[in-house]
Amino acid sequence: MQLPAGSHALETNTGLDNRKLLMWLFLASECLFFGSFIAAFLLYRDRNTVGPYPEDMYDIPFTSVSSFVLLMSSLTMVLALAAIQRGDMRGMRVWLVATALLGLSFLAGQAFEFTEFYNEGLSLDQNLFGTTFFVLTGFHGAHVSVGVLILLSLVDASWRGKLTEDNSLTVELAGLYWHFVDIVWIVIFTLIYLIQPQ
Amino acid sequence: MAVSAGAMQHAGAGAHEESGLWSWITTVDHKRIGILYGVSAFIFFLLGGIEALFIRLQLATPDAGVLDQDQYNRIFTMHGTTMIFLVVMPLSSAFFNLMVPLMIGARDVAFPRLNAFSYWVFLFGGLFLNASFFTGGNIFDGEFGAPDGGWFGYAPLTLNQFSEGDGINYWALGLQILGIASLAGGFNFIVTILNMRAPGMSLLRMPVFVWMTLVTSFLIIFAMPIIAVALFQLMFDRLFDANFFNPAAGGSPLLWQHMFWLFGHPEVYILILPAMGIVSEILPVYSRKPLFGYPFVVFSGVAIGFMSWGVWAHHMYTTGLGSIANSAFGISTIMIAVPTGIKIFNWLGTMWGGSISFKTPMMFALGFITMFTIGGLTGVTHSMVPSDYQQQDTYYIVAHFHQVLFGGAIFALFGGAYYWFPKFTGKYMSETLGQINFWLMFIGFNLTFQPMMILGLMGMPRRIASYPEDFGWDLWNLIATIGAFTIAAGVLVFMINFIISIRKQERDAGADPWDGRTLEWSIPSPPPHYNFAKIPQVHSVDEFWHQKYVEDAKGMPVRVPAGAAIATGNGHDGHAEEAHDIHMPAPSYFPIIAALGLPIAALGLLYSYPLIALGGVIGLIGLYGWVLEPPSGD
Amino acid sequence: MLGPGVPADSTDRSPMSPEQQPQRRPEITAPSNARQRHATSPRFALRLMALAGLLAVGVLLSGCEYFSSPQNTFNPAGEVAQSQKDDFLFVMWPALVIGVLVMVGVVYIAVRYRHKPGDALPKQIHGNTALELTWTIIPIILLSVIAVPTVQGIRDLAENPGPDALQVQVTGFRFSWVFAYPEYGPTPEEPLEAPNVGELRIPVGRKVYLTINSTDVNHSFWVPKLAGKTDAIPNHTNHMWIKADEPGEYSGQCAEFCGLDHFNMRMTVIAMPEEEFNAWIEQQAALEAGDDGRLVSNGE
Repeated sequence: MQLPAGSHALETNTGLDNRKLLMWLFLASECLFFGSFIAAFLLYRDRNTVGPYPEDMYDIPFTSVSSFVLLMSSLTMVLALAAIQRGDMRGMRVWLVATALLGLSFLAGQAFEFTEFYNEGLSLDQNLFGTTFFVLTGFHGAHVSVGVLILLSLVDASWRGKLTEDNSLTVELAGLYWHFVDIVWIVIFTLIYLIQPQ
Repeated sequence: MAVSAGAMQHAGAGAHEESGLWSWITTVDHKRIGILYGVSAFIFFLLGGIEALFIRLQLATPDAGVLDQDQYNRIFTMHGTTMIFLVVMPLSSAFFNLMVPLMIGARDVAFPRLNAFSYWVFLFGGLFLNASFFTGGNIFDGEFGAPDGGWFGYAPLTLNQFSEGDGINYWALGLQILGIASLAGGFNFIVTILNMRAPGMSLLRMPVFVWMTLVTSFLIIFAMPIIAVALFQLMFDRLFDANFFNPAAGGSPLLWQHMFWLFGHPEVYILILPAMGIVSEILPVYSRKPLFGYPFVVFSGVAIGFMSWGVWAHHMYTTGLGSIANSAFGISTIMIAVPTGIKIFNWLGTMWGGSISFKTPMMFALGFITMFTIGGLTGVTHSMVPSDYQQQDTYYIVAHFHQVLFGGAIFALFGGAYYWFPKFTGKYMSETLGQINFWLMFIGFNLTFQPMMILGLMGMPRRIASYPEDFGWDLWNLIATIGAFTIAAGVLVFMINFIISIRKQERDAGADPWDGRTLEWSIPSPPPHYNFAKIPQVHSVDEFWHQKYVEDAKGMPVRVPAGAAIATGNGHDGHAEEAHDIHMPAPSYFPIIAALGLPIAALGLLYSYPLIALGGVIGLIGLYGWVLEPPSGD
Repeated sequence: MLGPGVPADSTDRSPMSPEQQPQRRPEITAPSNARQRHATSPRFALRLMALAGLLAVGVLLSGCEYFSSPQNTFNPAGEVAQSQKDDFLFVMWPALVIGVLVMVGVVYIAVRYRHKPGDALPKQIHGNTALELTWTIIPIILLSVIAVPTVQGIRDLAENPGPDALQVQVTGFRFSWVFAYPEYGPTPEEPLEAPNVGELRIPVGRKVYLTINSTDVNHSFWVPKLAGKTDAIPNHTNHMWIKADEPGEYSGQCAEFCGLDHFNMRMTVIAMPEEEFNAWIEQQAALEAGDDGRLVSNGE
């Protein structure tokens, strides 16, 4: 792997590796991205002219389980990072695969949930709820999917010997992205699912 | 100084700046990327300028018959969109690229390939957007397919039911692509500035232009996602029958406006802050005095960056937000004049007591100060909200923003071109032609836009394809059109000057033609591939000036005798590198491949879904190749 | 290789060794030829400013015909437009003074501190904190003064003028306007529609309360001589009051880009003396009643 400039943290003015700073900046801008979609959802919550409405659709227990699954994937991600940091490449691969599988389970849960909603009459074009809900959670799901691809790429690179103990930063950065996507889901789950206007 | 430890290229014996198309396509050198940005943006400037001339021809007289209303609506949409996204922003990027690494004593930006990627994405986005012209039928019969919803694309006008055809789709997708370019550049320059400054260059020793780049880059990375979301919402409505802006489903046009202006207002500061940075570099050099109040100029720029998030709804005073909202935004808009005024006073203070030379860069800087002051003051008149109910959507507003964007940003960018041309070519641009260029543009600018203030107050709304005969607007419109062609003449003179100067044989400018103050003047003109043979040790703001001069007890500058610099310890920082040991990042074709995926996917979204997959595959190939690039320079 | 900032000799200001760099003074202070010096000198700027000033005065003196327009905001015929003109001038005059001061300041500085051959480098002043505070605080104070009539004006113009005002419904659509009088229809839900599209009749001297909507895209209702504009936005009802102070016909047009014929989406407000207006209303109501056989039971 090509190491870009600033790979040695000591040589940067802030002490932060260039790539780590880049990832934090990227995640900061992503906050605005998801924040805008969430804001649109919240602003439109009371403006539906037709149903179905959120309270007709949500299966909170089910979504709680898939949220828990995603939360656990952050734990496995941390364990993957810990593994590479102590040189345990096989352990890292195990935990990365676990993270990817948990992520895929979450996505499967989303797919199931969306299909249920669709069958019960909620489509993208049905009303404001359908539009804002599917686009928001759809973009989140896309981000999770990209994350899964990244994780599997890391596993593949490790198999081929291209990801070594020196590259723990790469795994750390993937972890930052993964945790961010998880946190966004916590926000979505809280604001969109759990908190209902009276 | 950390440089690419991976793909490396020896910069010494045998290695030289290659020429030829392939070297430009694969370049990751910030200087070349800056030139690519500059040339491309200038070509788009000519395009947007021609669009402006058509607008002015159509409006020169009532019912002129040059354009019909359909063509007019498309031309003014493209004029605005082009000037903002394809001209001022990339011209600023050109200067970020050319100057920031040199000014901070670095050999390149933090992510050279990401830098190249930014440029190619910009170019493809601009081409994609303009391709829309050809989708309306026979372009030579005046059948344009270009978008016609205005540069601000208000919903629900831009929804399918009111805007048929693909024009708006090209607009939205084109802007998405361009947004990615801007974001990538924003990330790159923040990391570069925060992480790659020469030893001893604390943040408050950086040139003001670098500071403005930093603030602008933060504005970019926070503002662009908002318009990205708005554009996604619009595209979902147009392509998949979503309801974001569908009034029948309860959708609100105000949602579009809020999102657009939450992006749009920081955007105008994205457009002006780099220009203010350029002016802050030019004035001290041609006044032979340091920038007056450096910390205040810096902090006012930062303050403008923060405050720019709190004024967006001043574009929406007439939409019926309510008295409290209008009052709050009125007050915040009034207050944002304060940091702007601080800059102007400090610039005047810089010149006061100086020894001023009126070379072309200085003329453009003075043009900026005077024209931007007028523009800023008209902005204060807008902040008087009840009065704005009359001004909004009229030519008074058109006058205001051209005052600050043309009389401001464009003037500064032209000044920067004259100022830094010698650094990258080793030659001066012609002074005579430069003065003619400036005065034609200055006079032309005033002839074009001052009458528009009158027209707005006389009740002429904007975005109208023609106007009636008996409304008293004829004379002022005619004057404005004459002014527009005067500007065009000035631009022509610039082009002639540029071409003649590039082709001069003798490199007579040298490294430091203007007795400059900042680090870029300490290296040869044009700079070597690796910029600095030895990364400088920085001891103060205006580091290079202080290597040449010391101040005596009365604050008068005294020339440092040759050789004394060595005694003061300048230039030595412990690890001297020989030129042929400097390793620079290798060129790469993966950035352009990755960039290519975007317009292909966008076309696929519009015409053929399998094409999306193709674009995705190409993008992924580019991305994987980029990430996995072999480390050696063999 | 020499590092940056190490001059080879005392006159050469470049860091390159003399072999690599032709001996040359920086062009910044070297005058190239007399003609260039003339062109760059501040005298040219001064002459230009004088010319511009003369032109401006000439235009202003030459007569109001160049400023005459049926949509001129500077020639208000209504209370709201008058207050908005006053508000504008309240800010414009100080802004003009400041603008002229800055222009004159720039030219003065350019003339007084221009480089003359043989001039030494000037004193390297870095700043003055007292000055910074002054030119921060004084603008804050001056700008705060603007805030007061701004907020007051917003409130005044947003106020519901009360039951004495004439109620009018304004509906924008591509590409004209329809107006209706809810007080004069058979029932409040069936307002009396004005007969001519794009033409609104109102009584002189009485406040008119507009309820503004759109049936398609964003428009903006604007009759400059009577008042500033208010947008017509689908799904979002807006209100505005206007009052004509003199009888007459007032021209207006849509002020929010709405598509192909936006440029031609006009309206006319006809202000009539109260008695004439009432008579006209009765006549319209009678025509309506005659059309559908119902008596007018609402309003006057």
